Amino acid sequence: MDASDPQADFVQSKPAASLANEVEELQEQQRSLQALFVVALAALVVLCLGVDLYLFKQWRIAKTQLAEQGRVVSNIAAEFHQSREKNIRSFVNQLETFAKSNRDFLPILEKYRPALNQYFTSPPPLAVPAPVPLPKPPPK
Amino acid sequence: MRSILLGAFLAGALVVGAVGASWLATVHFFAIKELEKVTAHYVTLTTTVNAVQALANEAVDYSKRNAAIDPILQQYELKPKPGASVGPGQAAPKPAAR
Repeated sequence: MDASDPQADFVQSKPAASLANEVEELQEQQRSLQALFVVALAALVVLCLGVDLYLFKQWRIAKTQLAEQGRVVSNIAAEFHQSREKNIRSFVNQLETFAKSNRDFLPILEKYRPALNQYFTSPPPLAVPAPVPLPKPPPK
Repeated sequence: MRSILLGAFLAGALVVGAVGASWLATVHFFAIKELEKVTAHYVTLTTTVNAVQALANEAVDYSKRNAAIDPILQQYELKPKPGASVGPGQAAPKPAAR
């Protein structure tokens, strides 16, 4: 042991009884810290199991909902694509043809272009720019 | 010694629980994403049907001003054909719901 070591100096300067007391006190602190660590770890495990359980239940609910909703939506989509879509396309086409000869119907039809864009065959009509007024000559 | 073993066991249980939570969070995330996709598909279909219905209603309104559109509306049973009366055994044309 090095004589210039401060720790060694400290140990040497203490009486043996006092040193034993301090060691015992440190051991006691170490034990209580270990117990605290185990308790905290146990609490974390319980919390983790709770989160697991919650996530598992949420996942099962989502899975059930997905199966139900998926079945319903696929039935609706199949019915839509089989029967309705053809009629919608034909209806919109006829209205487009009608709007070509009846220009006052065009604004009504154009209002639905964003929602029914895939059923329109003709491109949107170009907006006619407003005539630019000529600048007035300055008063003399 | 017993405390160290207990600590090790708990730490192991915590790791297993954390891995399980991560896995469950991942599968839950993908299930919700799939559900959102299905819902979006349903919303698209509903929006299309509603838009067509609204367009049909406006076309019927327009036909009060311009009867030239009537043949198209009659073809899709949005307007009764002239001379056709709704008898007791005959189905009435579907009312245009708004």
